[in-house]
Amino acid sequence: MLPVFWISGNYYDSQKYWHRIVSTLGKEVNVEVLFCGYASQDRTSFNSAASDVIKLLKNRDLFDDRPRIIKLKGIPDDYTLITDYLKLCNNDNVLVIEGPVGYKAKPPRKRFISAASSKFYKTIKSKGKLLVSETEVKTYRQAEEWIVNVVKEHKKNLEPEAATLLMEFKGKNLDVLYGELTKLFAYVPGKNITADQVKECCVPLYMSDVWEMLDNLDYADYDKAMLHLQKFYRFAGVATGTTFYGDVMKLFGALHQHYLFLLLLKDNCGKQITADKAKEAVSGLFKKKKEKDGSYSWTNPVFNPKFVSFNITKRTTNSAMRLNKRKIYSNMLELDRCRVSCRKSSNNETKIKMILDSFVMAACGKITVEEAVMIR
Amino acid sequence: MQSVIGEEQEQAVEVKLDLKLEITKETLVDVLDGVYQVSTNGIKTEFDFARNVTINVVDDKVEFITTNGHLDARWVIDKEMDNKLLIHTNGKVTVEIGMIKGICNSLGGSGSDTHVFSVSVKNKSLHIVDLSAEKKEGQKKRAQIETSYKNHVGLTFVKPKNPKTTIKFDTDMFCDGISSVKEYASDQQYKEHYGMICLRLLQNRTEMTAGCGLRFGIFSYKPTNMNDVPEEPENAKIKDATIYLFPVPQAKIITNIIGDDAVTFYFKDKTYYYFECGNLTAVLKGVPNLDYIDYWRHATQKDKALCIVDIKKEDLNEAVALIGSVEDNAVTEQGVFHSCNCVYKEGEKAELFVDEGRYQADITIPCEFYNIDTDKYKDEYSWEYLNDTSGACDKTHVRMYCLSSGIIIADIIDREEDEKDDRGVPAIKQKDDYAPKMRFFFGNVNK
Repeated sequence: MLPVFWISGNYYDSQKYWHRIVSTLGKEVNVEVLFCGYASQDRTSFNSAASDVIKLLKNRDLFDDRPRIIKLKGIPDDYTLITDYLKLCNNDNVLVIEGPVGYKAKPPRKRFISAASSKFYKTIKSKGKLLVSETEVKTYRQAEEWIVNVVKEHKKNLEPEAATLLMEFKGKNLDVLYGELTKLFAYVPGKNITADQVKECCVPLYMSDVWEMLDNLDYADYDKAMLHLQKFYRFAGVATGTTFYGDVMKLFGALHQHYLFLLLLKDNCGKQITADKAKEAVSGLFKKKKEKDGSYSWTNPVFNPKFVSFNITKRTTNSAMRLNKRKIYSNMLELDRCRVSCRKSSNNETKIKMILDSFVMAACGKITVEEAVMIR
Repeated sequence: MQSVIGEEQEQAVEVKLDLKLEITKETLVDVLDGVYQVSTNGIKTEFDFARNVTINVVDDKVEFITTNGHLDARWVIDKEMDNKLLIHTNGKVTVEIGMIKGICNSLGGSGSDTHVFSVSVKNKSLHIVDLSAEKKEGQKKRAQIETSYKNHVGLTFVKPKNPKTTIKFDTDMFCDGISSVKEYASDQQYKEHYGMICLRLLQNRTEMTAGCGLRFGIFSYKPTNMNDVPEEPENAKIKDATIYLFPVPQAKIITNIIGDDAVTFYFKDKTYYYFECGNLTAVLKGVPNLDYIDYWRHATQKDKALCIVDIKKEDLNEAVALIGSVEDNAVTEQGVFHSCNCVYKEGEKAELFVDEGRYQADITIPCEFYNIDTDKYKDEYSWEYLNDTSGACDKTHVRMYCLSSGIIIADIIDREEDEKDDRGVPAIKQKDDYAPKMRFFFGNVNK
C-alpha cells in the first residue's frame, strides 16, 4: 500500500483521520502544507500547482531527517500530473490530500469539477487510502448518533431534548452541527448540556421570541404575542449574514409549518393525540430535494420524528387542538396572503412590520381577516 | 547624526515649507539612484508609503530619507561631499521618487553632470531648476512636482548602543558574496529560512550561504582584519554560532546601494541591523527571528568521503552542456527537475547519462578518481546543481567529495600537481589567503 491518503467529508472526522495519520508516523513529523486550487475568499494565498507538489516529492531536505507529510489543502487543477509521481511516496514521504474529490474551476466560474473518474483518484483508491466521512447524514437518527458520539469524545453529556433542538434548528449538516457543538462546549461550564443552554447559545436571539409568539398565537393571547413580535423586530437582521427580510421569511416558514402540523394532527388524531397517531399523521409529507445528477427525490420528511415527539407534548399544541379546523385553516390562508404582501415589499421594513402586526391581530381575533386585508 | 522624523500627524495639514537649496546634478542623481533602489524594491506587504523620498534640509546638510517598510535608508550630503552645495532655507518635503529621479536624470541633457540645480518648494510643489543652463546659456530648464502631504514618520537612524556584533566588511567582498549565493536561496514559501542568506562570522573567515534544503552554495573568504567575534568551534551548534540572516530581496538592495570601500554593520540582535557606508546610514529591521540550519554539518564532512573525484572545468562544462541539451521542457514544467546519473569508477573516465524519457544522452569525460573507501560511486543528481557548480568554476578543477549519504561536496580549486597527500590526492593551491572560495554541497535525487 502506498502511503497516500485522501481525507474528505466533515471537518471533525477529517481532523480525526489526520491526527491518526500523524500519530502513526511518530512524535516528530515535518508537515509541509500546500494550498491548491482557487480559494475565492483568499486571493492572497499562495496557490500551488502540480509542479510544486512534484518538486516536493522529488526533493528532500538534507537537514531534516524527520518523516515528512506533504499536506495538500485541495487539489490543483493540473492534479493528474501528480499520478506518475505517487510512487515516490514512502513512510518518510507521505502525501495527504485534504478536501473534496475535485476542485473549483478558475474564477469567475463557480463550477466544481469532480476528480472521481480520474486515474489519480483511482490510483489512490486502489493503492492508497480514501478516508471519507459524510458532510450531511440522511436521517435525524444518524445525526443524533453522531452528535452524541462527538459530545462523548469531549467528555460531556447532552440531554436528548437538547440534541433534538439542535437538529431541529440546525439540520443534519455535520459541519454546522459541529460548529454549534464547539460553541456549546465553550459556553457550558459543566459536563451536562441542556436544552435551555442550547436555546441560549445556538439559537439566534429572535428565535426564542418566535417560539413564544407561536405559543401565544395558539392561546390567542394578543398582548404577549405582540410583545414577542416586537422583540423579534429588534433582533431580526442583526446577526452577520442575515437580513430583516430573510429572517421574516424564516418566521413565515416556521408559522406555516406550525399551522400545517396542527391541521394534520386535527385531521388524524381527533381529540386524543398520541405519538403513534401523530407520526402516522405526518408520515406522508416529504421535502423535495435536488440530487447531484439533477433529478429530484422525495425522501426527507417535512416533520422529523423528533420534532413530532417534542411538539405533541407541548401544552400549547394541546390547547391549539381546541381551535376549530376552520380557524387554523383561516390563519394559514392569512399567513400566505401576508407572505405574498411581504415579498412585494421586501425592501420596506416598515411595511413588513405593518403586515406582520395585522396578521397577529387577525390570528388573535382582534380584527377580522377582511379588516386586516384593508389595513394592508 | 541622528534624525528622528517626529510624530507628525498623517493628515492634510497646510504647512508652509520654504526649503531651498542648490546642489550639483551628479550628486543629486547618485543619491536618488540609491533612494530608488530602496523605495521601489522588496516592499513590505501592505506598506502604502513606498516609492517616496523625503528631502530634509537641516542647517548645512541635506538628508534624503526613504524606506520600503523593511529597509530604512538615509543619505546625507554636506559641503564636503558637494562643494557646490548651498543651503538657502531649511525645510522638509516628500515627493514620489520615480518622478524626481526621472526629472533629475533628464534635466540639463547629456553632459550636464556638473550643472548646479536649484531645488525649492513653493505652493505645495517642488521646483527643480537647472541654474547653470539658465545662467550660462540663457535656457529655461525647469520642472515641478506636487509634494505629498505626508512625510516619512517614525524612522530613526540611531546606532545601537550595545550591539551584539560590530563588523566591518570590505564592500566588494560583501557584494560578491551576496551576489554569488543569492540565486541558490529557495523561493518556496513553506520554509522561510531557506529564503534567507546566512552570514556566518568566524574568527578566521566569513561565510555567506544560501540553499533550498537539497543544495547549498557557500561563499567564504578571509577578512583582512580578523572578525571580532567570539571563538567558536567549526562544528558549533546552531544556537552557539554567530549567524545573521538576510532576506534575499533586502540583501540585493543593500548590495546595490553600498559604495565606498567598507561597510560597517552593527547587529543589535537577530532582527535589527544598522549599517553605515560613506554618507549612507541604513537600518534593516524586522528580520524574521528564524533558526537557520547548521549547514556545516554536511559541508565539512570531507573526511567522510568515500572517494574524491577531480574533473577539469572544461570537461565538466562540456558534459553538463550535453546533458542540459536533452532536457525535456514538457517534463520540467511539471516540476520535475532534469537530472542525470553520475558514475565515477577507479581507473576509468567519469560517465554522465540520461537514460529515461524522450531525450537521452551519454557522455564520458576524463577525471581523476581517488579511492578512499570505494572504487565506484554512482548516483543521480539534478542537472541544475551540476550546471551551477561548473558555471561558478573560475579555477581549473572541480573537486567532488562523494559521501555515503548521497551528498557531494564540490570545491572549486586550483591544484598543486607536485604536492600530494598520503592518499595521492593533489593539494589545493592557495594563491592568496584572502581570495574568496566558492563551495557547493547537494544531495542526490529522491527516487
